[in-house]
Order: sequence, then C-alpha cells, then structure tokens
Amino acid sequence: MARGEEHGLDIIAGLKRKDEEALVLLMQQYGDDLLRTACLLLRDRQEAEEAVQDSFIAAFERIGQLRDDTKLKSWLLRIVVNRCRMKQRTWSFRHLFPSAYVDGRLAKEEEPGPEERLVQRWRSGRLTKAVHRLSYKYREVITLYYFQEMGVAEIADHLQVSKNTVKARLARGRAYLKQTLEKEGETDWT
Amino acid sequence: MDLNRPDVKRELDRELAGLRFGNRQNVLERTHPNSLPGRLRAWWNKELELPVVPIGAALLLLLTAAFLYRAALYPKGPLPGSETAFKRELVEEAGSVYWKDDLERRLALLENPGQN
Repeated sequence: MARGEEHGLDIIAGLKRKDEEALVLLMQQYGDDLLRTACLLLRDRQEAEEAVQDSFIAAFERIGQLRDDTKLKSWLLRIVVNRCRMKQRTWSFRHLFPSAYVDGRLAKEEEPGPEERLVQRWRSGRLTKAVHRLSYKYREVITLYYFQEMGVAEIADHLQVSKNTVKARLARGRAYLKQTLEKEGETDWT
Repeated sequence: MDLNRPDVKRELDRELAGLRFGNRQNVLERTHPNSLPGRLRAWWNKELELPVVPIGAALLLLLTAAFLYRAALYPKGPLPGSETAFKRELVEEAGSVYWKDDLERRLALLENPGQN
C-alpha cells in the first residue's frame, strides 16, 4: 500500500459526500507528488500547477467513477497523466509570447522569494533537466518508471499501450538520458 | 553508467523537493464556491464531456439524410445556374464569340432548313 493510502478509504467516503475537508486532505496527501510528476512531464511549473488543479477538480466531480477504492493514488495519477497529455497537445498563447509572460511574472516580484529560490533550484537540477530534454513519449515512461516507481505492466495500462511499446520506449528513453548525462559528465549522484 | 532506479528516484526527489502544490485555494473556490461570482465562475468553467463517437455518428447521419433529401428533391441532374450548367464552351467565329452548342445548333438549322 502506498504512503498515505491507509487514509484513502476515509478520503473517498468524504469525497463521495462532497466534503470539503476530504478534498483538502486529498490535496495535502497527493498534491506535491502529483505536482512533481506534472513538472517532469510538462517542464513548466505554471502549467503543471494548472494540470494538477484541474485533476483534483475532475477527481472531486468524478469520484463515483473510481472502481477500486484501494487504487486512489493510481487513479489520480492517471487523471494527471491524461491532463498533462492534453496540456502538451493544447496550443497556448504563452508559446507565442513567452517573453511577455515571463516578464509579467518577473515584474510582479523583482526579488526572488523563498518559493522562487526553490523553483530556481528545481530548474538547476541536472537530472530533471536531462529528463526534460527527452521527447514527450520517452519522458512519460521515464517519469512513471523512475519517479513513480511503476512497473511496465502498470505503465502500459496507464498509457493504454502494449507492454512491448513501454519496454521499447523505456529502453530508448534510458539510452537518451544516459547520453545526455554522460555528455554533461553528470555522474555524481549515482 | 547505470541508471539504477532507487538512485534516480532519490535524486529526482532531492531535486524536486522544493515543489509544493500551491493551488489548493483555487481548487476549493471551484468545487465549493461561496460567493455568487465564484459560483458563476465555477459554472462557466465546468467541464463538459462530449462523447465523440455518438456525436460523430449523429452528424454523419444528418449529413447523409440532407444529401439524400436533396437528391430526392432534384433528381434530374444539376440545377440551372449550378456548376455543371456553366460548363458550356465559347468559340470565336468571324470576330464574334458564340456558345459552341448554340452555334452548332444554328449551323445545323442553316444546313438543313427543312428540319425544324
């Protein structure tokens, strides 16, 4: 059973009653982990926050569709992965005016606060950067395999592809990741 | 270099540790709106799920029905003024321009004046 899953059943009962506290508990328990997954997939903090936000709203509204109460985290993750895919496909005005968007954000806070400093640290994470350099289909399997520690069969089920496809993407993604890390001489963490 | 799963996981956890989900209030405002503007916003942003296959099938059926209806209404080929009607050819004869079919008909009449 995953961390925090023991409270999952109470949360589900609360969500089915449309209880606000249950939703808060759900966000406390899974919010950070889902945000980190979304950040790895989308490469953008703002987009990732929106994806996770929309996922929680969708989960709250469709909690009745959860078939197995013990798989709450897996169900949430599936929603987030689908949402990230949608975001990845959706064209955004931010792509047209990226500098304007960034300037707008910078103008709000000239001095970086603690939050910004943490984001900067995240951005400078070399392994994260290397994952971000992968194309989306490889990034997806690498994130689910390494960060979410899911098995091949589970990833295949999540992404609605065959196990062989997952294995192939994993092998290729791993090779690209190694290449990128070796190019930068980044081996300190292994 | 081996990409050992526990090592990669540990490093990613370390690098991403600073990221905290900060949109909790936005979620609650959408799911449990207190004010009227909040309720309106929640309603406006409500997600609709449209099943693609039934809607696509219904549209296809509608288009087929419209096509069949039109075909039944005008069974004798193209309407006057439609694209096919304009496929007449222009020819130039003795400095003047004539419709080819019109000219041929008139010439045939001149050659065989008995036939009307």
